Amino acid sequence: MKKDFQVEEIADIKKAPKRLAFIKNRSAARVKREDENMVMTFPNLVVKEIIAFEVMVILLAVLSLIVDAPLEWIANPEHTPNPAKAPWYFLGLQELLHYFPPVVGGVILPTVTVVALIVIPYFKINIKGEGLWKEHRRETFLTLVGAVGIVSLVLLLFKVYAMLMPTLIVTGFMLAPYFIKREHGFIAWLGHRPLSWWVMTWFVMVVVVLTAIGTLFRGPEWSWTWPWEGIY
Amino acid sequence: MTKLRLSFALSGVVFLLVLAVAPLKDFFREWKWYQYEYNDLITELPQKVKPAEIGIKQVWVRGLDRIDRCGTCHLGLSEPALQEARQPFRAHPRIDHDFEEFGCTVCHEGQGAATTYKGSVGKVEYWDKPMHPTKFMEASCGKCHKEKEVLHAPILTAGRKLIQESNCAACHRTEGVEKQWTPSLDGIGSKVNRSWLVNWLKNPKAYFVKTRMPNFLLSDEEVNILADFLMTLKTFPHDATLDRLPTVLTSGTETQREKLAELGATRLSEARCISCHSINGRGGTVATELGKVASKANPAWLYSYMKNPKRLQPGVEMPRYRFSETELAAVVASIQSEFVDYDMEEQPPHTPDPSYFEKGRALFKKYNCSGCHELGGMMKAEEMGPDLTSIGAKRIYEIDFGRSGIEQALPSYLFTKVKSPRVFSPTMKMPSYEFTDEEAQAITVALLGNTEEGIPEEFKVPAKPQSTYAPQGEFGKLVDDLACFGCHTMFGRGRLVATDLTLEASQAQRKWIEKYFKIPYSLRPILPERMPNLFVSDAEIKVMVDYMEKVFIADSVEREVRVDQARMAKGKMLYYEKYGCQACHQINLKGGYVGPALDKAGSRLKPGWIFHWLKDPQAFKPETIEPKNNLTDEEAEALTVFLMSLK
Amino acid sequence: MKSLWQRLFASQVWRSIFRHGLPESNRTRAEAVFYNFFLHIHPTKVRKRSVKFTYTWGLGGLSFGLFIVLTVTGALLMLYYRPSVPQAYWDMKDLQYVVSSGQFLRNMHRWAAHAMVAVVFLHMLRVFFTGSYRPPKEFNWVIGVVLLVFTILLSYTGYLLPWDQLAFWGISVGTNMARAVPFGVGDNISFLLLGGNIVGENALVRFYVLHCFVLPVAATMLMGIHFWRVRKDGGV
Repeated sequence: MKKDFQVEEIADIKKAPKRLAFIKNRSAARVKREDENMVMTFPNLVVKEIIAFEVMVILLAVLSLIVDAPLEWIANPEHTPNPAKAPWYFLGLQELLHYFPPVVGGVILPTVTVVALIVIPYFKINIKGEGLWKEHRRETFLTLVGAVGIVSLVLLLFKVYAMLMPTLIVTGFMLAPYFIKREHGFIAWLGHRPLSWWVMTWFVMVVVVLTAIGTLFRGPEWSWTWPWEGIY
Repeated sequence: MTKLRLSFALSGVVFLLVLAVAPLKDFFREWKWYQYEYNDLITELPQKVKPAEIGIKQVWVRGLDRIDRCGTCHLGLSEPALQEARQPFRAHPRIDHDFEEFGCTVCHEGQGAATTYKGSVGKVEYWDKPMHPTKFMEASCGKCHKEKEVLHAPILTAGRKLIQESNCAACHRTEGVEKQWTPSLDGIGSKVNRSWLVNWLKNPKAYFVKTRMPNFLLSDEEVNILADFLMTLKTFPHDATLDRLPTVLTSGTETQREKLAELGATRLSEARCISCHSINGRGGTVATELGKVASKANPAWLYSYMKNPKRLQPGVEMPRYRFSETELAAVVASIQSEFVDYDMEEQPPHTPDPSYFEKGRALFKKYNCSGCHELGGMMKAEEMGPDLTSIGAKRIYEIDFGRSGIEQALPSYLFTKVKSPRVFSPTMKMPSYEFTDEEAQAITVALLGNTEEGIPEEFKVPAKPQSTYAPQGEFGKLVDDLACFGCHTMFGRGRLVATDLTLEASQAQRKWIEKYFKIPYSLRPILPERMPNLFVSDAEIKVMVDYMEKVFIADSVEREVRVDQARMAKGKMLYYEKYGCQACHQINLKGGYVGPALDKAGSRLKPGWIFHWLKDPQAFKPETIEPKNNLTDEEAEALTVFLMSLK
Repeated sequence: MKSLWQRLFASQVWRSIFRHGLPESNRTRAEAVFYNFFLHIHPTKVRKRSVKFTYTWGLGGLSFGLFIVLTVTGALLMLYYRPSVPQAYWDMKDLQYVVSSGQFLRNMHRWAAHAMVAVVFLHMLRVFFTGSYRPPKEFNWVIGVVLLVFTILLSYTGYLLPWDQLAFWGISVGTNMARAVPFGVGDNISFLLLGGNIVGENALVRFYVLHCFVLPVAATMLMGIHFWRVRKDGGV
């Protein structure tokens, strides 16, 4: 057991008061470097914040001056546009509905996603964040191949190639360090990524791919339409 | 640190600048420039015109729930001094509606709420109702005015007439349009020959240019199957049968028949078939082409039909001429020798498709032939095409433009659809009517007006209810037998090819009417349609004239006019000098051709009629071009005396 | 001239508003943060490392900035908007053609709303990949996820308000997804949300109230907690 407090010591006592920090082992707020450089919040941070805000408003205002917000025909309950699309951030979901039954695509998957996001910090494996290939390499490999295999099979069964592709790509990168052992470089870096990192990367890729497909590649009857054939 | 300060200063300045652009953009809105321009323009005018106050101007039409801001730029709308000014400042032409009260977009369409050129007049994405192009402008009249004839809207009126005459109602539901009578197909197999039928189905207009039958653009195979199917329909309605041909026609000698044909030709010309029928493209368009009829229908049918048209073709508006047996045979002989199509393409013999009957029946149904043609109980007419009652309210996004590449707007869609019905999709079934551009334009106008969207009840001008006049008794039977309604109107019912007879007995003298039935002549030399000689008997004439004197008469048109020399002279002077009536009317072959000749007016007309007619012609015939001269009673009486002296 | 400014800054009125002098010394700089309501969520001193833009990419701050932009433009838009059928649509047209800078306001609001959904999502990714959800910040992560959901809901409820085809069918598609929840629960959720079985005037009023009052107030409170916890857990 390490001692659970540290004393920050700085040579020039006039510059910084002596600080005593109680730090529990599992805490993230460790003082890693003893000689951390401190700066005044004002103006160093505050001015940067203001600049960031101003730049953001400038970009928004210029965009607003150039591009008008869309306004279509007045609502007409009698006439469904083809395709009828939800706002873009739901198009990934709508794309899922195209593949899976409504209960799965519209209820179970989104609920699972939100719950999964919420519980991330409550799992030790996520907190520890140890590299995937640190130990039990063989077992990890078999488990992973098994899990990915099942997911891929389900995706193949429902013909969800839009999800299958990112899954296989991510798996490829994930398994690369198992076959290619390197001490340095990209592969080694991949080898040090924890499981949660891989899951999140996969999730983001799937979300981006599905949303992009739903937004740009779907036309009448939710059929595949190239962007140059008209964006619906 | 200096870098941070510099970027802070820079971003601060740009931030303020960008935020200032938005209100600045707002300040220099385009309508303001138009208003400044207008105020400059009016200072150059000789007349004094009130300058515009700078600001958005709008008309709120409470009744129509519309806000129109067109007046923001169209500042001179009610300024007579700006009649010739450039747009957007030009004065509005005078119309019967106060546009301050009705607003602008109820007629013009376009986006009334907009205050930019592009947003209001221009083509706006996601705005269903772009401005009507000028040539379709009258469509808006049709939104409120549902009458058949709309005053000051000739294109709309023409369009509605075309829709009625083309029998669009056979396939489409349309309000206020009655289905037209078309021949029943019962017995067509006993009437026509197959070669003619095949040619007809391929292109009806090749036989009769003005036919109402459209071209269904059938394939050769379809034509053959349909012709085979139709040729099996041998039985006439109510099991009527063809009369046996007189022997002289079947087995008479060449000379006998030639002589007969000569008599027939005389009778035919007296019967004035050409008033209704076209003969080789000339003559009336009410009934079918006769010039080649001998190559179409067989002689037995012609004979039986002439003898009693309604027996073979119930409801047809063909008068039953009172021909004797010999005369009938003569007429048929004449038709057989004269009205032959020597160029008709004989169809090669062919073996019918084994299941031609079922297939033909299916085709008959597919193209909704029964929409127009009755086929005794076998099939009921059904509406097939889209409902047209509110086609004018169709949204752009409801239209499938296919790959036609036309302008994405309702008027151009309707125009194109009417002109070439199957251009949007080859699976469409609407036949081609081969309308001219003007006709298609008129129909488009009428269709665009088929909407009541946004029009409250109190704005609507409904169509006049249909006349229920149906004469009874002997007269009624005669009217039916002689098909009077085919040309004449009585109490609002019938066609207006010839005179409206509603006040005939107030207008004409009994003796003249009686004589006219015997030897009809044309009162108006310029009209091609003439009253045919129906060869009616004296007894029948008496029945008709008696009825007329009881019913076709109005006390208000009676007036006794005292005759004296002074009035006579004055009337003559008024006729020739003051009003120059000879410009349109003839007396002793001198004068114009527009109005009827006035020779013998004294033996034809009643004085009360002349008097009241002269006072207010439009009261009797709203569409007459006889000018209303606001005559004094004295002047009208003098003219009456003069005209009554022309015996 | 200079003395005039100095006298102003030294005056009692000025001092009653700003309790410190010009931030020229480290002490007054610290006081400028410490005594300022808006800045007191910051510590007076921060690690130099965390001031670097790429440390957080400023995504959380930008999300909040967008929220401010949306609140300001939204409040102005409320002045010209009636949540009724079909006036809502005509008010859009009036905003475009009559209201001073109306179109600009609407554009700002619309684009900022889209941007906020994206920026909040990116913020979440940044937090995840830097591992900033680790204890003791695990609950703040949960609040963050809820705030992401709220952001999407805010955007979604606002999507209906222009009452055009896009709005109507976008919302119809969305609420039909909710109907897929089994055992009749979905139908009830959808009915509760729309105030009826189809998207109509009731739905418009409900979405308006959610969009302009319920969700922003709730989000504001959660944001307060979120920021407070960030600060307490040693963030900037």
